Amino acid sequence: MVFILGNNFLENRLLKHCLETFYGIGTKHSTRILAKFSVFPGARVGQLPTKTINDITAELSTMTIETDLRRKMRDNIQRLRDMGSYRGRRHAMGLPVRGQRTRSQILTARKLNRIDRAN
Amino acid sequence: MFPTRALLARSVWKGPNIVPLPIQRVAPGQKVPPIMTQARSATILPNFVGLVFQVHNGKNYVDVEITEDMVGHKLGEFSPTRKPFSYKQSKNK
Repeated sequence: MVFILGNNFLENRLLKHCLETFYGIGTKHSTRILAKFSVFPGARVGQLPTKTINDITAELSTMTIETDLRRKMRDNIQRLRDMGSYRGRRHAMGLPVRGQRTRSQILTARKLNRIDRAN
Repeated sequence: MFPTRALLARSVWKGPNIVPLPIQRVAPGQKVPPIMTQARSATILPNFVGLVFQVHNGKNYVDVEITEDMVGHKLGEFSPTRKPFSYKQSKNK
Protein backbone atom coordinates (compact mmCIF):
# COMPACT_ATOMS: atom_id res chain seq x y z
CA MET A 1 0.00 0.00 0.00
CA VAL A 2 1.65 3.20 -1.20
CA PHE A 3 0.65 6.69 -0.08
CA ILE A 4 0.46 9.45 -2.69
CA LEU A 5 -0.81 12.81 -1.38
CA GLY A 6 -2.76 11.20 1.41
CA ASN A 7 -4.46 8.53 -0.73
CA ASN A 8 -3.56 4.87 -0.42
CA PHE A 9 -3.05 2.77 -3.53
CA LEU A 10 -2.51 -0.96 -4.02
CA GLU A 11 0.96 -1.84 -5.20
CA ASN A 12 0.03 -3.55 -8.43
CA ARG A 13 -1.94 -0.60 -9.84
CA LEU A 14 -0.53 1.46 -12.71
CA LEU A 15 0.91 4.77 -11.50
CA LYS A 16 -0.66 6.62 -14.40
CA HIS A 17 -4.08 5.31 -13.45
CA CYS A 18 -3.58 6.25 -9.80
CA LEU A 19 -2.64 9.81 -10.72
CA GLU A 20 -5.76 10.17 -12.83
CA THR A 21 -8.02 9.41 -9.88
CA PHE A 22 -7.25 12.88 -8.51
CA TYR A 23 -9.77 15.60 -9.39
CA GLY A 24 -8.04 17.89 -11.88
CA ILE A 25 -5.56 15.40 -13.32
CA GLY A 26 -6.34 13.59 -16.54
CA THR A 27 -4.28 11.89 -19.24
CA LYS A 28 -2.42 15.07 -20.23
CA HIS A 29 -1.18 16.03 -16.76
CA SER A 30 -0.41 12.48 -15.66
CA THR A 31 1.76 11.95 -18.77
CA ARG A 32 3.65 15.14 -18.04
CA ILE A 33 4.26 14.18 -14.41
CA LEU A 34 5.57 10.77 -15.42
CA ALA A 35 7.86 12.32 -18.01
CA LYS A 36 9.18 14.87 -15.56
CA PHE A 37 10.44 12.15 -13.23
CA SER A 38 11.49 9.78 -16.05
CA VAL A 39 9.05 7.01 -15.11
CA PHE A 40 7.97 4.70 -17.93
CA PRO A 41 4.19 4.70 -18.51
CA GLY A 42 3.67 1.03 -17.63
CA ALA A 43 5.15 1.36 -14.15
CA ARG A 44 3.27 -0.12 -11.22
CA VAL A 45 3.12 1.82 -7.97
CA GLY A 46 5.02 -0.84 -6.01
CA GLN A 47 8.00 -0.82 -8.39
CA LEU A 48 8.99 2.78 -7.76
CA PRO A 49 11.64 3.93 -5.29
CA THR A 50 10.41 5.99 -2.33
CA LYS A 51 12.26 9.06 -3.54
CA THR A 52 10.23 9.13 -6.77
CA ILE A 53 6.99 8.81 -4.83
CA ASN A 54 8.00 11.71 -2.58
CA ASP A 55 8.92 13.82 -5.60
CA ILE A 56 5.58 13.12 -7.23
CA THR A 57 3.72 13.98 -4.02
CA ALA A 58 5.60 17.26 -3.81
CA GLU A 59 4.76 18.03 -7.42
CA LEU A 60 1.07 17.28 -6.87
CA SER A 61 0.89 19.52 -3.83
CA THR A 62 2.05 22.50 -5.91
CA MET A 63 -0.61 21.97 -8.60
CA THR A 64 -4.22 23.17 -8.34
CA ILE A 65 -6.19 19.97 -7.82
CA GLU A 66 -8.96 18.57 -5.61
CA THR A 67 -10.33 21.09 -3.09
CA ASP A 68 -8.37 24.07 -4.47
CA LEU A 69 -9.71 23.49 -7.93
CA ARG A 70 -13.26 23.00 -6.75
CA ARG A 71 -13.08 26.19 -4.72
CA LYS A 72 -11.68 28.10 -7.69
CA MET A 73 -14.49 26.91 -9.93
CA ARG A 74 -17.13 27.73 -7.33
CA ASP A 75 -15.63 31.20 -6.84
CA ASN A 76 -15.69 31.90 -10.58
CA ILE A 77 -19.36 31.04 -10.87
CA GLN A 78 -20.19 32.86 -7.62
CA ARG A 79 -18.49 35.98 -8.95
CA LEU A 80 -20.71 35.94 -12.03
CA ARG A 81 -23.75 35.48 -9.83
CA ASP A 82 -22.81 38.31 -7.45
CA MET A 83 -22.31 40.75 -10.31
CA GLY A 84 -25.84 40.01 -11.51
CA SER A 85 -24.68 38.99 -14.96
CA TYR A 86 -26.71 36.92 -17.41
CA ARG A 87 -24.36 33.93 -17.16
CA GLY A 88 -24.60 33.90 -13.36
CA ARG A 89 -28.36 33.91 -13.50
CA ARG A 90 -28.43 30.99 -15.93
CA HIS A 91 -26.14 28.95 -13.67
CA ALA A 92 -28.41 29.68 -10.71
CA MET A 93 -31.53 28.63 -12.62
CA GLY A 94 -29.92 25.46 -13.98
CA LEU A 95 -30.47 26.44 -17.62
CA PRO A 96 -28.10 26.46 -20.60
CA VAL A 97 -25.56 29.25 -20.38
CA ARG A 98 -24.14 29.37 -23.88
CA GLY A 99 -27.19 30.28 -25.91
CA GLN A 100 -28.61 26.82 -26.61
CA ARG A 101 -32.30 26.22 -27.20
CA THR A 102 -34.46 25.75 -24.10
CA ARG A 103 -37.56 24.30 -25.73
CA SER A 104 -35.98 20.85 -25.49
CA GLN A 105 -32.55 19.22 -24.93
CA ILE A 106 -31.81 20.81 -21.56
CA LEU A 107 -31.24 17.66 -19.50
CA THR A 108 -27.46 18.13 -19.22
CA ALA A 109 -27.88 21.75 -18.21
CA ARG A 110 -30.46 20.90 -15.59
CA LYS A 111 -28.17 18.23 -14.20
CA LEU A 112 -24.85 20.10 -14.22
CA ASN A 113 -25.44 23.86 -14.24
CA ARG A 114 -25.48 25.11 -10.69
CA ILE A 115 -23.48 27.49 -8.51
CA ASP A 116 -21.34 24.72 -7.04
CA ARG A 117 -20.64 22.56 -10.06
CA ALA A 118 -19.06 19.17 -9.67
CA ASN A 119 -17.54 19.21 -13.20
CA MET B 1 -28.66 39.28 -25.53
CA PHE B 2 -26.62 36.78 -27.47
CA PRO B 3 -24.54 34.66 -25.12
CA THR B 4 -22.52 33.14 -27.95
CA ARG B 5 -21.58 36.57 -29.14
CA ALA B 6 -20.30 37.41 -25.68
CA LEU B 7 -18.39 34.15 -25.41
CA LEU B 8 -16.89 34.22 -28.92
CA ALA B 9 -14.68 36.96 -27.63
CA ARG B 10 -13.65 39.91 -29.67
CA SER B 11 -10.15 39.67 -31.17
CA VAL B 12 -7.56 41.24 -28.92
CA TRP B 13 -5.91 43.25 -31.72
CA LYS B 14 -9.18 45.13 -32.31
CA GLY B 15 -9.26 46.53 -28.80
CA PRO B 16 -12.44 46.77 -26.70
CA ASN B 17 -15.72 48.00 -28.17
CA ILE B 18 -15.55 51.61 -27.03
CA VAL B 19 -18.77 53.55 -27.40
CA PRO B 20 -18.83 57.33 -26.84
CA LEU B 21 -20.86 57.71 -23.64
CA PRO B 22 -21.63 61.03 -21.93
CA ILE B 23 -19.52 60.60 -18.81
CA GLN B 24 -19.24 63.80 -16.82
CA ARG B 25 -16.30 64.67 -14.64
CA VAL B 26 -17.77 66.45 -11.62
CA ALA B 27 -15.93 67.89 -8.66
CA PRO B 28 -15.27 65.23 -5.98
CA GLY B 29 -18.04 65.29 -3.40
CA GLN B 30 -20.87 65.87 -5.89
CA LYS B 31 -23.08 63.01 -6.99
CA VAL B 32 -22.98 61.96 -10.65
CA PRO B 33 -26.45 61.49 -12.20
CA PRO B 34 -27.13 58.03 -13.74
CA ILE B 35 -26.23 57.76 -17.43
CA MET B 36 -29.07 56.55 -19.60
CA THR B 37 -27.88 54.47 -22.56
CA GLN B 38 -29.12 52.05 -25.19
CA ALA B 39 -25.59 50.89 -26.03
CA ARG B 40 -25.77 47.40 -24.51
CA SER B 41 -22.78 46.24 -26.53
CA ALA B 42 -20.44 48.78 -24.98
CA THR B 43 -17.52 47.20 -23.13
CA ILE B 44 -17.11 48.31 -19.53
CA LEU B 45 -13.83 50.18 -19.16
CA PRO B 46 -11.91 50.74 -15.91
CA ASN B 47 -12.88 54.40 -15.75
CA PHE B 48 -16.58 53.43 -15.48
CA VAL B 49 -16.12 51.83 -12.05
CA GLY B 50 -18.36 53.44 -9.45
CA LEU B 51 -20.73 55.05 -11.93
CA VAL B 52 -24.41 54.16 -12.27
CA PHE B 53 -25.75 53.38 -15.75
CA GLN B 54 -29.35 52.95 -16.85
CA VAL B 55 -29.18 50.24 -19.50
CA HIS B 56 -32.07 49.72 -21.91
CA ASN B 57 -33.60 46.25 -22.08
CA GLY B 58 -36.01 46.92 -24.90
CA LYS B 59 -38.76 48.36 -22.77
CA ASN B 60 -37.38 50.28 -19.81
CA TYR B 61 -34.06 51.22 -18.30
CA VAL B 62 -32.41 49.07 -15.61
CA ASP B 63 -30.04 50.59 -13.04
CA VAL B 64 -26.56 49.04 -13.03
CA GLU B 65 -23.89 50.06 -10.55
CA ILE B 66 -20.46 49.19 -11.96
CA THR B 67 -18.03 47.33 -9.70
CA GLU B 68 -14.43 46.36 -10.31
CA ASP B 69 -15.32 42.77 -11.28
CA MET B 70 -17.42 43.87 -14.20
CA VAL B 71 -14.64 45.53 -16.20
CA GLY B 72 -14.28 43.21 -19.21
CA HIS B 73 -18.01 42.53 -19.66
CA LYS B 74 -20.63 44.37 -21.68
CA LEU B 75 -23.36 46.62 -20.28
CA GLY B 76 -26.15 44.44 -21.67
CA GLU B 77 -25.19 41.41 -19.55
CA PHE B 78 -26.54 43.13 -16.45
CA SER B 79 -29.90 44.14 -17.87
CA PRO B 80 -32.11 41.11 -18.56
CA THR B 81 -34.29 41.31 -21.65
CA ARG B 82 -36.79 38.54 -20.98
CA LYS B 83 -39.17 37.91 -18.13
CA PRO B 84 -38.30 34.66 -16.33
CA PHE B 85 -40.49 31.76 -17.38
CA SER B 86 -43.31 30.83 -15.01
CA TYR B 87 -46.00 28.35 -15.85
CA LYS B 88 -49.53 29.28 -14.77
CA GLN B 89 -52.21 26.73 -15.52
CA SER B 90 -55.28 28.53 -16.80
CA LYS B 91 -58.50 27.99 -14.87
CA ASN B 92 -60.64 27.51 -18.01
CA LYS B 93 -61.94 23.97 -18.31
